[in-house]
Amino acid sequence: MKKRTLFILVAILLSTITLLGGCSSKQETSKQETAPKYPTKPIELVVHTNPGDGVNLFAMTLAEVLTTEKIVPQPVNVVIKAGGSGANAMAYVNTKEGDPYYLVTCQPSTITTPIRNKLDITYKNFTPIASVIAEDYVVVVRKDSPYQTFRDLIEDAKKNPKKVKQGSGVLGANDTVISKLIEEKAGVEFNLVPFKEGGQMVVALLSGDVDFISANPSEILEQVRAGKMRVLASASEQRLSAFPDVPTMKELGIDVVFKGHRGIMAPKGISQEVVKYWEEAILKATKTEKWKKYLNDNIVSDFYLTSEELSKYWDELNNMYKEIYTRMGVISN
Amino acid sequence: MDILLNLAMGFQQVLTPIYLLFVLLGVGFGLIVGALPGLGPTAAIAILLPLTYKSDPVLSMVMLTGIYYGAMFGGSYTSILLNIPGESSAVMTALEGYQLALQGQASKAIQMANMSSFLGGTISVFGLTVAAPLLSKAALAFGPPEYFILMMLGLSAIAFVGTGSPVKALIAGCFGLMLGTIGSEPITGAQRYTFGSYNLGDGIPFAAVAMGIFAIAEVLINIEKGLKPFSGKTEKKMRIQWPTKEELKISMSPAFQGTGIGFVLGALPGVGPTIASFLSYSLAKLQSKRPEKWGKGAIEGIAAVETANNAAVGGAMVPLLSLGIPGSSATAVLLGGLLMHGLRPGPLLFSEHPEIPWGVIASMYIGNIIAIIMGITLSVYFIRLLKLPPAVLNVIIFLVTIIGAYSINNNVFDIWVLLVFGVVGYFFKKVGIPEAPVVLGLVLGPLVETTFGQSLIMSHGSLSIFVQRPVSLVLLIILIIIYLWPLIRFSFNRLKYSNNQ
Amino acid sequence: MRRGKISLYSGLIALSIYYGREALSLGLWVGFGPGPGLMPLLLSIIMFILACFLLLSPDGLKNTETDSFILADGKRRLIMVVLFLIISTYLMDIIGFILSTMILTYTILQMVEKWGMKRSAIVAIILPVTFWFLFAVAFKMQLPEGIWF
Repeated sequence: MKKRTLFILVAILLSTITLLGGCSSKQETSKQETAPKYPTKPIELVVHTNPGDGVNLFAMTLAEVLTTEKIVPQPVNVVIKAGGSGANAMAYVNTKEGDPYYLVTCQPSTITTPIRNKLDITYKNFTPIASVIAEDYVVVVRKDSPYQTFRDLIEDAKKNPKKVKQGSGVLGANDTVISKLIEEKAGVEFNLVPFKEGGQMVVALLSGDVDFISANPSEILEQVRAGKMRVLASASEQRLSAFPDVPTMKELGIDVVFKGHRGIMAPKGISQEVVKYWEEAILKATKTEKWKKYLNDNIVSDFYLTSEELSKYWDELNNMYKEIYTRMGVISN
Repeated sequence: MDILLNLAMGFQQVLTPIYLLFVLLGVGFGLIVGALPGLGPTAAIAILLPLTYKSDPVLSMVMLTGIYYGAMFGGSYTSILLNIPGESSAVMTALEGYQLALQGQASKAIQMANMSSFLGGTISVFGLTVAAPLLSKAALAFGPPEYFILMMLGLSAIAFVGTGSPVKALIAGCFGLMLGTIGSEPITGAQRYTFGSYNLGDGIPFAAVAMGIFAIAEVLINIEKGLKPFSGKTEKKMRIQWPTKEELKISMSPAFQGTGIGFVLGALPGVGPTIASFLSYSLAKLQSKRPEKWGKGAIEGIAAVETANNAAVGGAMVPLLSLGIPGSSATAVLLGGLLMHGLRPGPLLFSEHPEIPWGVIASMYIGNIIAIIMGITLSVYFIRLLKLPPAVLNVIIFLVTIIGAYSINNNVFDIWVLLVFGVVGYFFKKVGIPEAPVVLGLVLGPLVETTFGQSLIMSHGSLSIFVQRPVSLVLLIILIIIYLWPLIRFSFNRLKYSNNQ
Repeated sequence: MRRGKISLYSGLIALSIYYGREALSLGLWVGFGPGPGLMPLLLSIIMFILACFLLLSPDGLKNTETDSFILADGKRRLIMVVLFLIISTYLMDIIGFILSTMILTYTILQMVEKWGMKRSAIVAIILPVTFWFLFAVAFKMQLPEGIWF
């Protein structure tokens, strides 16, 4: 009885394995014979956030443009691997070493998550393809706030250290990094009230529980248009096209420039041709009308970097985050 | 008058064949996916989201919201039939519903859930129609201190679930709270109890724990005993059973109370259906004339919970449509649907694109009617599940919970969590430690900790913030009454007992 | 039964001690608010007290509805099922969803439920494939793929 059970088990296993093995080996031989141009099968674009989030929207739109504008002959499918602040997605793609059919989004969390959680998998385990866009940050107050300008805010914070309340992300999030930079440059100290979700932070600002927030323009544009919030300053290099009257912090003498890049990377060990292929495909995608509409709708700026430039940019970011995290006490040496 | 005109415009739009078809598709899909354990409204919307890329924005929003409340409707079925709560808001339904199913009254429980869902859903849409601007203003009165007290109110449910010893319920709740501290700490982001694994960085996923500790544990016990859980207890003919007149009568007040709680709490960003269902359950039990029946199949408990979590859907649409702020993970995905069309909802949505909010609102009236008709029809087929051989049913439970756990993050790690908590749940069941408080603690713990920390940071470390704010003070008084209630009742009973002797 | 309960409660006490010790190293107060360690410390104390109470009070060790810990005749079935669950989860990332759940279904039906081989094999093929079609094909959800796909 026992033997027969085992026999059936092994039989099921073996037959399926041979079946599957048969399929895959057939594919491989056909590849060698005709050597069709890359890509010959659908591409997986892995993203670490759910719909409703900026990075997810970036991946969805990019995949949509690449597919419907026929820039890539094969469909690009977005696959969500949420969890671990991006670590799950990185770990998944890391197992696909040398496989050119996997892409994954890169953003500041690609650098910061490994630093914060001391992971073995870092940005160095991936091949940079291209940076595509950047999300800027603006400082926002509600409409009846006493602060008319960014100066007012800084002056008040100088007079009352640790009294001006900022709604922020959890310590170490990009908006807390910006606060730290402002604090250091202007010689002030804010009182950071951390919120896990951006929506609650916006509510806290509207209700007056906090005095200001720094947010991506897309998060607050509608509130500003409705006259419920005012933008005081932006942490960008130049004035943002969506808020032409809003000065940059640099103009105001507080030299803080900060943005969150969104780009694409691939597993380690893929060929230079594949990198070139995607660099060009993405550049083509960013030239389409659909992409321009996306930039416009979501007030994100163009931030195209080639593979080489992105690699350098990552190194810079890595050093920057490590230093500021040490100063913020997020990591200890 | 404006409201009537706008609503008429919404109905005019929705009462066309193509819109009705999309509502039907959305509700039907939501109902079925929501009934699958582990796949709640968020997952259901996310599955169909990419398909709506090309259709008209109003049309796709109507369908996606249909999926949302359809999934809320369907979420109760597997909780009742198989003891698998796939959503935190359905935990309390499983508590009462599964007991009823074991007594051969699965159909009755499901019809009660259907009717309650319909009632809660429809009344909350009505609330959304007339009171959205008012309620969105009220939501602003809720800051971290108010949320903290609300969460503490929700935690009081620990004392109200379970039938056995209160110490064991407390142990279970404490265990759940401990699980909730795993992952990155909400204020400083420090990693706690992760053992260096990134998989635990975001904390232990709730759904995997709930499915493990409820469903897997139950199946393990049945397998050990060689039990056939439903043998002889299901009727030969699968007719629809309806609740009796008396049962409807005692369910009335929990149902309306649940609707109110659900709608108001649903409108608070970050609170939503879970707290609403916990609170509605414990308040209804508190007022019940037969509290001894609760936890052993009290049908009015289903009414309290299902009205609350369905009414929360209407409530959750308030901040989304009138402020542009998603209050829950499901509405965040709905927001994603609008973003894909280049539309960003905000305070101006009602004036600039009235066709979207009013179309959605009108469709929700129709969708709820469609949902109850489909729900009653489909329930007959769902109940047939119980006629499968128990061995096959056990395997099916294993397979769907495995898929459900995997789908949380598309990660096998969560299947391990499911198994571990299946075994933990097995031992807890053997000792008589109730499982619901574990889930309660796990869901509410991080929220309690976050909001307490936020409040103290806001007040520079002073506890007076909880009594200085009027809303917070009122909630605090309710909290104290509820926490002292068992003590009051206990001493009262003692008095009666000693008098009788 | 008594032994089982004693070991479970002792386990909870051990857990609370470990948990509390970790909490102390996390920092109890940061700035204006409670630090990462405060809530865990409180919880570990509560857990410790509650578990001790159950262990020491006669009520805690009294028999409950479920009469025995691990039933003698069910022990084999229980251990086998848990073992098969562990094996199939372990195999999930290696051989994919369909194959590993086929093994799970077959072993449970044939070896635990003592079904005939043919019947077990038929169900073990039908169920995983149906689920795969429903979730992976119809709903376009991700399922564990394994290294061959």
